[in-house]
Amino acid sequence: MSTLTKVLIVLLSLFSFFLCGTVVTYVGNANSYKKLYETEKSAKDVALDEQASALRHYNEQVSVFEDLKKGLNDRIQLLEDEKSKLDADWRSAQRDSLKYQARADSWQGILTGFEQTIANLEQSLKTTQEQLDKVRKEDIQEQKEFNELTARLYETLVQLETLRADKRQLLEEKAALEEQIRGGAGGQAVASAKANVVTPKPSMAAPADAMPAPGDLKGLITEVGQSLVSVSIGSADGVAKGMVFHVTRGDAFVCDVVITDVDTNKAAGVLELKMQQPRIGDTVSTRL
Amino acid sequence: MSPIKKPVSISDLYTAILALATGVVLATVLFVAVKCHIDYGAIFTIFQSTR
Repeated sequence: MSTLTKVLIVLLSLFSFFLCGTVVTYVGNANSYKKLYETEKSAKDVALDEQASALRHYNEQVSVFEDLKKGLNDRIQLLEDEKSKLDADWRSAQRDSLKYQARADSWQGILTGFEQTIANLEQSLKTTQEQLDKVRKEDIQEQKEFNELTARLYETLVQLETLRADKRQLLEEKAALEEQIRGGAGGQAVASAKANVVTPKPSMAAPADAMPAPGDLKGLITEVGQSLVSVSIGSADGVAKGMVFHVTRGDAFVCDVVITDVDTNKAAGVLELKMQQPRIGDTVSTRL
Repeated sequence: MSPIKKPVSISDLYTAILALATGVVLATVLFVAVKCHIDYGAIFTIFQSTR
């Protein structure tokens, strides 16, 4: 074997060692792209699954959101309707308030007018009451004078009747005396003439009994009609037709009653000067 | 006529070196083949990008 062959064998061996070492180092340090591919593929699958899950979740959330949005829109619509209704009610209430305020102001004015009218009426009533009292006093005075005049008239009538009776008796005695004179009877004529007198000698005229003064009669109202009332006292208590009773309730004057029908224990009359409607149990009296 | 002289191996050292180099190369080839089969599933196939 030549030396050149030996050198070539050695160089070839060294080169092959070097080359094989380089190849083994390179291949041993090279990336495993299959493993990387598998890893990336699994990561991609996981990512796709996550994407699908996220998409599903997104769709579910969108559906829930749509439902919630629809519900909220319905509720908003309902609230809007209710708000509109409440606004209308509020405006109506405001109008009613203004109307009632105006009516209250009007009533206040009317009330003030009524108060003025009532004050005027009270003043007028007071004046009328004073005039009525004055007229009643005058009426009582005139009634008293009338009673006195009536008593004098009765007395005069009784005296006149007495005088007439005396006149008739004297005329009868005169006629008897003239008849006896014409017959010549003499002294017996006078006695016989007195015996023929038929007219009794009236007693001396005496003053008539004074008219009974109207006492203070008091009673109660027992029945009340439209314009008639009945009272609990009658002729047995001295009630007569035409008498005027004053009806009172407490200290308040109610009306007057003019008696038109009298019974023994009750009487009835018509209403006058009616200030209030009389009621059963109101007091009637001839004096206030 | 001269007789043909039979060649005689005179150096086993260089034969051993050649055998060792050959073994190293074969081991390298085997390693690369196994590595390619493990990593790519094939030995001689050329993969191309799908993108």
